[in-house]
Amino acid sequence: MQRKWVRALLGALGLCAIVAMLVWLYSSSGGGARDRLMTLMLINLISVLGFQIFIGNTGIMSFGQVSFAAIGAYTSAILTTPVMVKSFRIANAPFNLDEKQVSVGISLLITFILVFALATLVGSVIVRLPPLSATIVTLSWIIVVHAVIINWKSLTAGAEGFYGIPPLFTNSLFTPPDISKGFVANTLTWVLICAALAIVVARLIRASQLGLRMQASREDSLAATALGMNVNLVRWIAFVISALFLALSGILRAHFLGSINPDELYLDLTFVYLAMLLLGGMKSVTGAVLGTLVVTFGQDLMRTLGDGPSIAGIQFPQLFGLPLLFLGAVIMGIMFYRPEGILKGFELDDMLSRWFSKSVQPISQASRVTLPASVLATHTLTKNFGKIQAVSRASIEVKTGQIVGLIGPNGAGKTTMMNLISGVLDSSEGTITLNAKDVTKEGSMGMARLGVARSFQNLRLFKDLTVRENVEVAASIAKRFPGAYALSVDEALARFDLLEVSSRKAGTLAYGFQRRVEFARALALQPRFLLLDEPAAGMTETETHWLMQTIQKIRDDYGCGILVVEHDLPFIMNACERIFVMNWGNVIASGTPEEIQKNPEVIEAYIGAKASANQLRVMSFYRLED
Amino acid sequence: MTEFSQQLINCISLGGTYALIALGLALVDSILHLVNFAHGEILTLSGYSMLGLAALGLPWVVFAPLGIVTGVLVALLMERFAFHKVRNTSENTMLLTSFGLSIIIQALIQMLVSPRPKSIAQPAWLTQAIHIGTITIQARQILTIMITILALVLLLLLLKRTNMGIAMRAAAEDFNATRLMGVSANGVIAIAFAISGLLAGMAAVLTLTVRGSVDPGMGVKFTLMAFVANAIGGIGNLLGAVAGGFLLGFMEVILRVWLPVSISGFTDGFLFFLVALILIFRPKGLFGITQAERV
Repeated sequence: MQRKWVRALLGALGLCAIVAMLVWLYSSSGGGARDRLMTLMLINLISVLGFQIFIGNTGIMSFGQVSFAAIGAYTSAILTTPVMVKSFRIANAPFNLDEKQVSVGISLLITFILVFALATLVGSVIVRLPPLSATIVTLSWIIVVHAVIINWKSLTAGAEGFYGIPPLFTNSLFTPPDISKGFVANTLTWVLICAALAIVVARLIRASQLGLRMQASREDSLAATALGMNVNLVRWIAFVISALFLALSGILRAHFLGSINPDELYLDLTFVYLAMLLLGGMKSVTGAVLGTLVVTFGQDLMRTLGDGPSIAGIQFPQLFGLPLLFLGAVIMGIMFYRPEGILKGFELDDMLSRWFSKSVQPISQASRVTLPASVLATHTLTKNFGKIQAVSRASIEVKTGQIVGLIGPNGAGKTTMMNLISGVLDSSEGTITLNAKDVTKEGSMGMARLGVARSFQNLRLFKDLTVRENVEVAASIAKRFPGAYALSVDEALARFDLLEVSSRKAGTLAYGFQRRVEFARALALQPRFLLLDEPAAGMTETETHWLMQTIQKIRDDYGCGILVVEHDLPFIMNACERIFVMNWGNVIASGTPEEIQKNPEVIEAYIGAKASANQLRVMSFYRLED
Repeated sequence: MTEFSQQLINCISLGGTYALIALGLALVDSILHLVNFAHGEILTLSGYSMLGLAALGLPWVVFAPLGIVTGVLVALLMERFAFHKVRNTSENTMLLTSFGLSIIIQALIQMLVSPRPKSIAQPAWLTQAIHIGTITIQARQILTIMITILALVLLLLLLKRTNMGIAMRAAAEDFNATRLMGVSANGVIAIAFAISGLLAGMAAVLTLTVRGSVDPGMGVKFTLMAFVANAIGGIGNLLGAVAGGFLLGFMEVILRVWLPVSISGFTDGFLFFLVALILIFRPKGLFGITQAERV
């Protein structure tokens, strides 16, 4: 835990040092124009880091973030500009704002509170929407903000823009800025400090549990919810932090340039920021920094070339579209040859991973816990998909300390049952109870929090996170559950022989390993009930045997109840104490393995009416897929 | 009543243009899952080709159809040189590729032609007013409505009746399964792009009769509108895209007419506010089909 923070901090400080060096080298070798370019670059960097926090970490494409820069810029400008100037530009401002001027400190406070409030509102709407709708609503939002700024002339001076904004860094934070007194501070230095802080904060967010959750929600929001994560809340937090970054950037920009124009903080700038983020790689802070540097210097070079310079006696023609062409070419080139960005999620501190990686130590003694006895049961549970009844009046029951099998031919409704119990699907009728308490309406997040964890049949890992991080996300959420039994991440990994591969990205592992990560992640939730959906699918006989022993050991050590949906009959017959058989949505039989093997209805469901009980017994020694 | 019929015609002709653009976008999106941000640039380039042809002294009846042909060619070239390479990548990658392409085309026009608007003379008969009872209709509005209806009906027949149309609808449902049935992927995709180019070319001709000039950034608004029409109509739903396009046109005209002059600058703001409201209450669009995710 400690190591992780130190590592991230070192990486962030390294980045800061590199950026500071570059800025210093470039600006010290040139005049005011270079200072100006560097200042703007650092201001843009803060914006791009804001983009990284929301878009990069949660994967939701937003076109609306720059609106918060505009709101920040205008609010701060209107509050701090001297009354004299305002009397020319906005003589009849609402709330008599034209007659007031506040200090920078108070203005910052008010501006951030306003942006926080607006971002809270907009963010809470956006995080609930499916991806494309969310993107369009962010686009709608920035268009609405832009329309308001242009049309609310008495407050913003409209389309012509707002002029006469005083510098931000003055003698005192708490007296209104007075242009006549002159200013001491070096803006570039202060902006550099702001940008450095932004880098550190953005990097630490990525390293934090919160950041891990943001990324998990990006990789697979359904699986994240099934771990008990409040995905909407996590996304909302990312949105608000991102908006505050953008606001800071907007404030710095307005006060540095001394003027703002509504078209300047609009979609064109949004596209530049997106290009910067994508170029470096949106998944990492280092990527955001690299992209900002490359695009800034690249566009500046293009601007120089486009102005028609004469180099070595050759006069070049004027080409005004060159910086734009460069931007487009950069985006297309990246998408063609490196869609995940130059760095593909690499962070500077990944170079230090060798010094920070934990040496693998075998877990000396697995912990043993005794969970209080609980019962998870369904009562006449029914699920309709249109006119098809996938599950009809099914009643099953699992007790802690039991391994229960759920079998049936293909299409019997087993997986639907699994989805109903874990809350991924809502039932049409019937109830689910946990210790006689009705939990039917808990949903997938609620069920996870009540101690019902599941694995997915077709693997839903957080592929871009390491194996350890996958398990860590679950463990960190589980810590707050009432029934948690303090199972360490290492122990969950060790149970499934994953310690050796724990620092690999989950998506890079072989199929068999990925399955095991699914189990370890579910176990890390420290569940009272573990639901496994076809855990042995695609496994060899040896692996199946190992899985059976592991599941039994987990039950013995933690005392949780395990419900297994499986086609592998030998596995079920050997591992389970109790079996429910489904066919056509109905539970047609239940009992011990011996009883099930003798049950004529089960035999009929599996191999037709004429088969004998003996045949089923024979078949149970072979793999039976259907 | 007169006022109402008058505005209705305005709504239909503007909505029709949006519908053409939205349908082209939807057609490509449904098959490739590519939201083509450069779709509006097909319209732009078609417009510039007409600028060039008009400068050669060709009459409208010649350069307008050639402009539509240019739209088809541009769409096919886009597919061949930009989207072919990213065909099997993520939706985000394709979206951003098209986004980069859109920027490149705009920059090239700025550099090679001019960043300023250029006007193209429209024949006088297009703006001639025709009086039907108390309603006044311009010839171009009749043209717009006729072309829109014709294009939509023909496309519908193509999709419902011809083998290629059925293959395209199948590809929209499940592209891989369609390929396994022996349908050529390249063929279906090329046809989809050609049709989207054809529709964008038509929209270019029609919109030029209103605005009379071309500029490098003119396509962006149409892309935006097409994108939004698709979202309102329900992603992947072709008829939804048409309905969304008409709805947008209606909303825009109604806002322009009924918003008081003092806040007429808010038209875009209001329009997108309504769009946001629709999506907040119907996240899958008005005609979107909620597809359960396979777990």
